Amino acid sequence: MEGETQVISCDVIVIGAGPAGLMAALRAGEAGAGVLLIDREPFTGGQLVKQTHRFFGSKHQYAGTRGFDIAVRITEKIECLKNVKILLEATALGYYEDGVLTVLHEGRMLKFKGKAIVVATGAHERFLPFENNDLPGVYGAGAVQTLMNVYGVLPAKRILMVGAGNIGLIVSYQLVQAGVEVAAIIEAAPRIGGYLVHASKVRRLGVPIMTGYTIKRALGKECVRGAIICKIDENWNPVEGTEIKIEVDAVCLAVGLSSLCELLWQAEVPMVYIPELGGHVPLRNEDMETPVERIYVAGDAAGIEEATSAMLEGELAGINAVSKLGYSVEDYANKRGKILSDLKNLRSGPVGEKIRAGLARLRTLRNGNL
Amino acid sequence: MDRDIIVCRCEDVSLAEIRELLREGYTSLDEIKRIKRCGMGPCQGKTCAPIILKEISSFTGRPVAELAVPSVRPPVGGIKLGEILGQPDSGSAYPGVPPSALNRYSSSTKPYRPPFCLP
Repeated sequence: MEGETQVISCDVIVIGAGPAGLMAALRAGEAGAGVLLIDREPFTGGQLVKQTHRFFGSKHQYAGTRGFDIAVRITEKIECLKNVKILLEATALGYYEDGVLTVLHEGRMLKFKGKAIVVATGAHERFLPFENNDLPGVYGAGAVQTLMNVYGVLPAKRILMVGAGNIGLIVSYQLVQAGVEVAAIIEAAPRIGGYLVHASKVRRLGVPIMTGYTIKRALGKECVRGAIICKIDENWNPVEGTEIKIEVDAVCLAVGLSSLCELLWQAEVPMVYIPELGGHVPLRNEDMETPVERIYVAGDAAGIEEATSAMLEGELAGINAVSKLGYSVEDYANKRGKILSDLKNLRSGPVGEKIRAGLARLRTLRNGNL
Repeated sequence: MDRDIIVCRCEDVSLAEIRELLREGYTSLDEIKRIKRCGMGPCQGKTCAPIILKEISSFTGRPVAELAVPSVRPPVGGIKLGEILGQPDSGSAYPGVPPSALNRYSSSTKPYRPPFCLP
């Protein structure tokens, strides 16, 4: 048809240039495949660009490096590969039955077809139902980080953090660094969800962490002027008479993430509900391939974890996608084994308990379904 | 009280409205979406769907894992009308559509070439 956009083909399309997508594109590119890496933002790195803290905990090569530096380093490596094209401000909008992926770029709908696809679209933040939760000043933790760490804008003077997982703890620390007073970190669960290293850091700065508390109401008419928090019982119901009023001009919600997997639903990848992994997640095998052949997932899109595991999953998806297409990956068996054992190490210990339970459930469901 | 708890920010739907629908017998996300437009706004249900699913689950006693979710159709984000209409050969081919809506290709008849080459 005249004027119709042609379909552009390549070996591997990687959707999302966050930690998972960057590593997938790098590893696929190193094997010599023609790779297209797209991201909706004008920069690569995804959530890494907001990570001002040094990474730790894993033996992975990027431990000790700040998140945004990791993004730059991987991107520079990718840019050395002539067979990888990075396309920014390009949003994947649809995946169709014939394998065509539509991408919005510079106001145009482009059509791509990859022999293999790696979906590394990340996650979206969860929202919390409480009174006046639509008041200006109620932020998601992602928005707070974007304002502070990407645009250099202070989100508040005094803030209440809801959620003591890693995001709640790290963003609280960054808020204090930026000069914002964190009135308290409240956590509905009976214990802190994130790494105790992060919890100790904010506690040393004088920020109280209150477990077993939730937000009942945001106060204010035009914007947030305060918040009422209260204790909750073992059935997650508010306990009468335990309300505390806190004066803050913003409330930051760090109450979890869910996988962003619209394209996977469209590709008819079987999805399962596993709360430990963030909600609905795609079925996939140990090599990150979904039951729909040649569609791979990596990072938060495969289940909520963190950046280091996202990078490892990205590597895994990258080397497996290209080997399936017939490219030879140097020392494949050893590389694969190393990544899998790194992932296992990363998920060991008490913090990995939830992930291990979620992945065990995923395996059970996969074996039943496939 | 529940009126002040917003479940769907895109379409401004409160928890009270969701609970009323449940009591009226609308106990699937699809039905609630059709009546209240939850999930049809800019975020396409990313904010409200998990909350509504939990409400349905606690009302019906069925676990969230067993609840049906609406189909996810392309496009997953907003695109301009001109892009849906395709490339016009002249402005007149699309009567009633203002040139501004047809955006930057209203005068172009050449097939579009992307501004890059693929490996």
